[in-house]
Amino acid sequence: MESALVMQLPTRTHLDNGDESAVAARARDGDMAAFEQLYRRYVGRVHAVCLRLAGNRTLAEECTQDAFVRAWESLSQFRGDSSFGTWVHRIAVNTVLERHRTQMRQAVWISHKDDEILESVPAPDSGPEHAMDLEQCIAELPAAARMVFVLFDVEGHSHEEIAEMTGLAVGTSKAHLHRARRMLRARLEA
Amino acid sequence: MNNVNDNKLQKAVDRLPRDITPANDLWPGIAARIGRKQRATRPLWAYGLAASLFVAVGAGSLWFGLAQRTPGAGAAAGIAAVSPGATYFAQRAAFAENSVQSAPNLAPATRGVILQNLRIIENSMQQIEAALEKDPNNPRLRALLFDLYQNESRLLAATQQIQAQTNQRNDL
Repeated sequence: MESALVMQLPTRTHLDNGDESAVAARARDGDMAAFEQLYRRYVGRVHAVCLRLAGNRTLAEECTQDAFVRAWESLSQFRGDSSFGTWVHRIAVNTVLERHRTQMRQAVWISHKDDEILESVPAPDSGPEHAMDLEQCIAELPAAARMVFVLFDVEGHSHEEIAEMTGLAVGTSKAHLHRARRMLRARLEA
Repeated sequence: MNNVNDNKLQKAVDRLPRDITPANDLWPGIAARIGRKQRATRPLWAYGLAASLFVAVGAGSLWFGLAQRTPGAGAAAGIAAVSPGATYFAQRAAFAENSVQSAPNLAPATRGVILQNLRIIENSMQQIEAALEKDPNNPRLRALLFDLYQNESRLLAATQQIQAQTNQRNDL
């Protein structure tokens, strides 16, 4: 029954900026087609942060799914103060961090040294080899260092924001960033 | 040396793609999970219908049961004692109608037919109740009213069934 539901769903849709608040309002009223429009627009951005934070494609896809399901469930709390993309991005980061905390408690957070992350990453216009190398190097960082590096250097959060999101002390966040950069520099020069 | 390397690292970070499309389309899984949650919360309106059905059948049965057990001259007093009055019947009728009005996914034509039948039943009930006030011991009037309660119950049950079938079709 679920697969039949899937086959009825429309294909990729485009969404203008001006339409976003109206589409979000329709989604908030339970319109799943409207929510799919928001999904299509922001899935790449959400998946990118999930992939870099998780360092693993399978886990990243799970977190991306979780983030959008949680967004759907919390749409009544979306007031439109920021864009839907910013809002769902924050949900995605929290989703990965919560998953990380849970798995750390269970001591099964996996260190991924396989090539699967490379399969997901499109080559940018310039310097594809550097970007690919960097993605791989980020994925191979220790989990805490990877998360702080991604949140600070890639996503642009401050150490204070990272401390709030992760529960780390600001000084610990800085130490992880320093460690991550040092390891990445060493890897990129090798 | 660190500054040079930091710049190199920062440039590499700046070249990272902002969007990475998942290798698999994740929407089907998301839609399925959202759909399951919606189905889990869907019966709320059905509880309303079931409640109205329960109230209608329960009140009707109670009233008729007590009225029929009250013999002879005491019948009128018995009915008067347990009959909730015109206000109650009007409220109950409005509640049943609202249940149909608020049931989601009913086709407009179907909803119209159900409401039309419901109003015919309610109108008949009011006429019989008025007649029973004048002739409370009339067994045929009581039997007719009882039949109307059953018809109303069947209509509301049929509405619920149509709604369930519509939901199943929508799920396919």
